[in-house]
Amino acid sequence: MADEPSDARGGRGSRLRVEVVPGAAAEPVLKRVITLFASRAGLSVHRLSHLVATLDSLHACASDLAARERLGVTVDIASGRVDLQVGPLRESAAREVLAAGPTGRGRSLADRADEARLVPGEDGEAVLGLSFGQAAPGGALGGVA
Amino acid sequence: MVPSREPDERHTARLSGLPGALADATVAIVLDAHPENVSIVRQAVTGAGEGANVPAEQIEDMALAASEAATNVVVHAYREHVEVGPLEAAVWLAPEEVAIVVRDYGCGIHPRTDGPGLGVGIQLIGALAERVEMSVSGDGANEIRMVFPGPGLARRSDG
Repeated sequence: MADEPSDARGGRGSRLRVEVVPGAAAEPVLKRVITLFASRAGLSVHRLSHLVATLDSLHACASDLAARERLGVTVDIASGRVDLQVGPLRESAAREVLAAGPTGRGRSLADRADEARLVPGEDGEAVLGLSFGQAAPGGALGGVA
Repeated sequence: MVPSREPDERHTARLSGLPGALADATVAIVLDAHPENVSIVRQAVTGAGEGANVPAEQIEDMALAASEAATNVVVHAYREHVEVGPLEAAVWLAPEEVAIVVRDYGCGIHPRTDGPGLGVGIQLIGALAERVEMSVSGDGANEIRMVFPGPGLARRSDG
């Protein structure tokens, strides 16, 4: 078996854009599409589970967050790394979610990622960037709840 | 912390937003037309069907038809191009019908005598879907549109 994930080539087939109307289809679509695509980056199952938890949280607040009719996520994969760009979002709603307490949605959205940043755009819109690498933040178990 | 990567500008331009033709779809995805991405299209269609409570048997048909259409794009659409182009797929969910569109910006769907496949993809799609339409969109994309019964009308095996 090759050590290198077959699709973690950083430039060839390494980007996906998915957009979905918040609602019943959002959860299965986001989970199925993004998890399968991200699995090519060769993250551990543990880190992939963090990504899935993040997608759960994203789906849970999709209606509040989405600045337009659909919630959009761009996924970039490289060897051992997955980057999500979620947006455009309503900036105020995104800040609220990220500021949620330790048991709130913000924990899953941001704390399980290595890096979370909100990039404000025009007209009150923003893009949330989330990065997942091999090493979980907060130690070997990555701060599992 | 891992430093941020600089995005590929070409990809950013192409994938940062979806084409207007897909603007009102319930689900839409864009990715490169590589063979391994056919399974992503399949998962998108399956997820959309699950979310809309489409019967499992019909979800299988929808997913198979979408896979065949995506495979056609991978095998045929960009064979005369230096670089592989985009593969777009979208699903419209309504009570009365489910429409699936697969698009490319290559040479479209034509018979290929030297093709590696069995050449039955389009016939299979025609057998699975209630209606199939092939066209060129206003933005120049080749489209195959596959229409299935909606969750309100779909034949259910459990009753």
